[in-house]
Amino acid sequence: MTAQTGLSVEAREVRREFAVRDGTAVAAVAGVSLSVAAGAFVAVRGRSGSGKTTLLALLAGLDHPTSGSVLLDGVDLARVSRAERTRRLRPTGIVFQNGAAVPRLPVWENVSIGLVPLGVPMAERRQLAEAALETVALQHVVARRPEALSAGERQRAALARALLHSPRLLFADEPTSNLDPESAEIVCDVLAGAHASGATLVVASHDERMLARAARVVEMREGRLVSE
Amino acid sequence: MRNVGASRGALRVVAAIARSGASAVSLHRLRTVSTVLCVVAIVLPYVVGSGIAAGLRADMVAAVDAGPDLHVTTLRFGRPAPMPESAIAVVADLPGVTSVVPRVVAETQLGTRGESAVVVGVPRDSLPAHVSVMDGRLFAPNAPNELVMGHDLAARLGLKVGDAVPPFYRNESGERVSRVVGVFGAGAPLWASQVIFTSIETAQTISAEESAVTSLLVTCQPNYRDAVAERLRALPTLGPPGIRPALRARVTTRDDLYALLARRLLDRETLFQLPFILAFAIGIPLVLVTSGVGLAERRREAGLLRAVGWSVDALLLRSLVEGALLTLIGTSLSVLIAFVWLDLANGAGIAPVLLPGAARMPGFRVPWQMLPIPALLGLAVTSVLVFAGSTWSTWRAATAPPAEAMR
Ligand SMILES: Nc1ncnc2c1ncn2[C@@H]1O[C@H](COP(=O)(O)OP(=O)(O)OP(=O)(O)O)[C@@H](O)[C@H]1O
Ligand SMILES: [Mg+2]
Repeated sequence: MTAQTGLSVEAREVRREFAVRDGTAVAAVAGVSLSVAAGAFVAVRGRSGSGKTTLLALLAGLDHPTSGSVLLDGVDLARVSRAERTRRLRPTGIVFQNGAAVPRLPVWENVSIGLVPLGVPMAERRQLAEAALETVALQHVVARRPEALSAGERQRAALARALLHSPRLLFADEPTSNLDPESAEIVCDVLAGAHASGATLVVASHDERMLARAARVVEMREGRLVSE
Repeated sequence: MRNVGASRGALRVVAAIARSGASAVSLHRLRTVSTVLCVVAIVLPYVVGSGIAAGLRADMVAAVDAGPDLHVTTLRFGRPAPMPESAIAVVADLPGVTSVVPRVVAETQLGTRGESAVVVGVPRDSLPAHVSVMDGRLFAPNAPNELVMGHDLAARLGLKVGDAVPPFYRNESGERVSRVVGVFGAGAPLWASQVIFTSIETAQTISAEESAVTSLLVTCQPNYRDAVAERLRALPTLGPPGIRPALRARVTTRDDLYALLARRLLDRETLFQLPFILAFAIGIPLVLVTSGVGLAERRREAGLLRAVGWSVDALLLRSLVEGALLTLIGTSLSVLIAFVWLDLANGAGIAPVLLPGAARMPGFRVPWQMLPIPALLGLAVTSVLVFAGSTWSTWRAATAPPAEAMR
């Protein structure tokens, strides 16, 4: 792995409300300020429903805050054009909690689909995907459909996808939640490896193994950060 | 891991995205099947209709090409009137005339429901070449009241070879019973499938115009046609000389027929557009509905692709390629079905819709000609529809925040 510089990300008074059926709004994230320096490894813990997934989506530029702002490498994502935002987000990666995948598309294609709009040829994509799948101990599912994977396998495939383009800022949403201790250890190692090679890492997790490796642990409760 | 984040050049990018769009056709099966069916529902009637229209045009032009140089009828006080048989010799004697074939055309009511039919009396040896008898034989030269019928007409009246045609016609000489001696069909052109051929004499009896004919088909020596037409028009009368009122010749040349045909075909082709307009009207909402088939899944997919670095433009290009393939598949399928339908199934079922009087299984060769324009037009129209539907939904999904689209 080549060393690289991580990207910093910062949330300033970020709030994200969701409209619910009875017309009221719930604040999944209710005013969070968090600064993640370049090359940092931050873990976010908190009870189910405390807003971890929502916060990660906001930090990763996949959702727009109701108020407040998110700065990627010092640039407010809300203040740049959509194309510019896409370009700036390219060196970031996210591992979704549910290991979201394109249905019916073979695992290796799912893992490498982010390289398609970069014009990477198919053979090269497959090679890269196979290598990435091997690092998460999934070499045996390369040609399978994502429907035929277990929840834990799907999660690890999502990790392989996020790692494929060597992101400088990586988000992982409970990446070990569906895994046995042995597989969880592999995932922890892989994430730690990405961090060691320079990537900034933000992980939502309850897993003690993961929390133990993080340089900094923050806790969320009802949409707010309560401790550092 | 190597740095693969750098883009590889615009052409490669477009090729890779296009390939991904092509594979989306098999990823979104339900949507593919429903969209292709819609495209077929729109394009197929149009391709079949235009195919038959083009075939009819070619057939009619061929018939005029093969027909006589001049058609001669007579007018009395400016109205069509029967022509005495003596006119045949008058016309045949004009310089430059090589042959004159008389024809008697009579209309009659047939069967218990009084269906009207056209009876054409011709000399037996000058029947049109395509009237090949399918069943039975031709009418004998001297036997009266022998009929050869077009297949579709016979089928409609429930008549077959050997059947007597009961209260067929009645005139001063009493009630006549005629007999079907032959049925022709397969291979005959459309117009012939609806008529009855018989001898001049029988046709004259039916029309109650003894020793009169309806028209003369005149063939001339090369370059004599205009001169002969001039001479005919200048004749004071085609009737017995000196008898008033005079019978003036009306001459229709082959060129006149081409002009007439062009006008008639234009009307008919407008008629052929109708099923298409109808299919189109039904097709617009259909295609828009199918662009919603599997929408939730495609929306999630768009959100995911955005989350892993796809731009909105890349997603639009992908859906454009997918849509283009769907319309291409649908149009190709339509052309294939149209071909099988017209060529192998002889337009079964659809011919009576487009060709009034044809049987469900037409007894004549349904004329058709597959031209590229209708298929291309169908492709263009359905492409616009499919693009409109899918571009809109893709745009909506791609411009929403990915986290929202993925929910
Ligand atoms: N789209 C939505 N519409 C309405 N409410 C939502 C939506 N998404 C999340 N919420 C609510 O916001 C709160 C935070 O959700 P979030 O998914 O961020 O929690 P979490 O900390 O990731 O939980 P878990 O540990 O179970 O994954 C929850 O109460 C949830 O019900
Ligand atoms: Mg969560």
